[in-house]
Amino acid sequence: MDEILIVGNPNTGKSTFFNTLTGEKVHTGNFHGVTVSFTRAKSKFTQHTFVDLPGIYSLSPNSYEEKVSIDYILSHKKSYIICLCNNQTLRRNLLLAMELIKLGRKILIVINEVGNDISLDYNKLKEKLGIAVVNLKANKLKSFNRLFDILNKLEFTNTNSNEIDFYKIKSLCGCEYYRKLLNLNDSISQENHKYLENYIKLNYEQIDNILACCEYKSKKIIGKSKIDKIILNKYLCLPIFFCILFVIFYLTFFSVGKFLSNNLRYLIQNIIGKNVVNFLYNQNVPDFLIALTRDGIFNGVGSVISFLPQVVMLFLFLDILEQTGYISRLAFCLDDTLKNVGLSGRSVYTLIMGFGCSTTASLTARNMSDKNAKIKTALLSPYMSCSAKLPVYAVIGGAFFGAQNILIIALIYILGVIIALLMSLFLEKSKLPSNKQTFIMEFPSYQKVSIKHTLSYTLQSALSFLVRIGSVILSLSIVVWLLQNISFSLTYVKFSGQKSILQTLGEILAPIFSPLGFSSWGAVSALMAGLVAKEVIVSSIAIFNGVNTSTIAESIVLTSSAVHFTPASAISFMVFCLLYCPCISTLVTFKKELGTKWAVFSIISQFLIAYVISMFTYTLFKITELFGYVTTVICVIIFIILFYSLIHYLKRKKNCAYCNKKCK
Amino acid sequence: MKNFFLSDVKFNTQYTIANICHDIDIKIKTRLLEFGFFCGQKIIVRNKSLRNGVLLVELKNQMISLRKEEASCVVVYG
Repeated sequence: MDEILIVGNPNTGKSTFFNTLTGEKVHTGNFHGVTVSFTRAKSKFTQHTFVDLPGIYSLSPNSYEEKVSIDYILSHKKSYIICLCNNQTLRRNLLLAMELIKLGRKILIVINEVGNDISLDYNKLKEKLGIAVVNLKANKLKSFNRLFDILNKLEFTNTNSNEIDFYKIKSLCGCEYYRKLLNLNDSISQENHKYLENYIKLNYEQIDNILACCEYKSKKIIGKSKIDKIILNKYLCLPIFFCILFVIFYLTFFSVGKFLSNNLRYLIQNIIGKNVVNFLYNQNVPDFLIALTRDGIFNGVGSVISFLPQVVMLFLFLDILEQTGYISRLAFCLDDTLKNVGLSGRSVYTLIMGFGCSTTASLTARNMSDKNAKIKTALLSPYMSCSAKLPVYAVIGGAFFGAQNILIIALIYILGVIIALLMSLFLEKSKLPSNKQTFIMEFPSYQKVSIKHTLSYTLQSALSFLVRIGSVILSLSIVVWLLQNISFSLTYVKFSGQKSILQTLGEILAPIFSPLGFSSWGAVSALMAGLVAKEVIVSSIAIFNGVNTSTIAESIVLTSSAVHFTPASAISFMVFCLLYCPCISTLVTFKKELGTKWAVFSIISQFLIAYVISMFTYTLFKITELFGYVTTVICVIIFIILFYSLIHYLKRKKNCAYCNKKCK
Repeated sequence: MKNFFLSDVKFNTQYTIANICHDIDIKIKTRLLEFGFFCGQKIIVRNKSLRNGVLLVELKNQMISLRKEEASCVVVYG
């Protein structure tokens, strides 16, 4: 197969280039390590297959996603390589190109012209390197013509390179990856350090000479901005971050998001739903099918679909944060805080993406340099409240707390973050102590938000949400409706008067949840259904209460409903939904990325944590109701003292990973 | 001229890299060298993180963040 590998430093625009070439919609962003696995696709414009690989700085891997790239390059000897460089960081990008040339691969250098204030003589560069050099803009297909001309003339034959020589050089530089390939077991010596220094310095000298001949001039300092004086200010960075989060939550859950959501709900319920049900009545369709359509499909699925605008808005804001380059700044500000709990600034990207979808977020943990930190970061992503949980907070919180719900939702999101950090600290001190992690990372420049990119990404998120609703949520809603309307003797409960399958199971499990304040079979069954996908919780509540999307909030206040709450149990239920077991797709990702052991650990630990925290929340609310605020405050203070003592014990000093002493 | 560790230098002052310690993990050293931290390069510390654990440095027309532990392995003079 005529494969062309797209290789380059992180954040040079490889995925953008790949998307333009193939018409794919691979996720892109202004952060190092957005691509963590390879994607293969045929181009619409040439006869070749292109492979988008995660970014690497050189052919020495330092993290899992870098190893994916290097494994792929070394195992596909016949493939052509496009080394994608960014004209702003050309000097560093060419270091990788030099290594690929030394490896003896057929390469073509493509320079993505991002900065306009850069001068470079491309013909001289081609002459000096002795290989084809093409300059283009990765997001503009019009600039690809010269590249297509070259690609159509490529010949795919085996290279005659002696790769072993390259492996030997890298082994002398102390690279563990190549030492393993050559079965070298001796320890790293001072000679290796000196050889490494000379090897890279020599490469850079060569690059500097070439660039000097090509009259390369770059006046701009990449990643430097006057705004950073404010954004990175010690005292302002966190308030700014919280302000950004508040604005995102306010626009998503209230104002714009709520307005759009209410209108969509009206459209589904009062216009489409009513007309479809009336049509079915007029066609004399059996009652069973009408009830299934009305309660199972329109009430169940409709209750989730009406949150489409809010979910889309959340993804829109996440994309804006990612595109601008703000996440790198946040990673810089929070690295030392996160280091104390065994994470790294790089974890910020995974954790922020967790607000969108835990499954995709857990995959991004691959960019961590330390294996234990990677496991921890992935395991923590479900604690970040994902967009699927958003309908639960909006419906249940909205029913009891009205306008104050924004505060409740904000506290729930913060609780998720706090529990995640404590969990990380626990893992750091027990099973997964961090090894040496690096935080050597380039700072990307701030970028203007591309409306085209944002619209495409938002549309993609909306489509995947709708596809998920049309497949998983719709089928689950039908299953939930059937289980709620059919008894164990397979009779329709409306006529037989027997208890439904779900009610029977729910009643068996309900006593377990009575210390948490919600012991109705409906609430327990909704949580069970939510194990597959969290969106199903709200659709199940609508089905159990036999209400539509407009009246679901009113129904859960009534004690006569199958699923009902008090303010205390509502909070407890929301907290439980935030923290309990991740959905099936996240668990499948955990199994694949971290192994079965950690997937099982995630189920058990999250259930136990959710149980304990929900019980604590419910008890606290009950104490307030019975004994007033003063007693509650005293209880909280006692708890904080006990908790602080535990943290202090866990954080007792261990030997430093760098010098193996109890250093500062 | 006096030698310092990069982790201890003043803000917004230009220094020159003297060398990188040999007792550092070779993976970290490789990454530092790949980013251009080698003898003779000019470097300026521009910022520090919330709890001073991460530095933001300007090196060869690019801004790079690195931890204090990593910076303490880079010897500079100036």
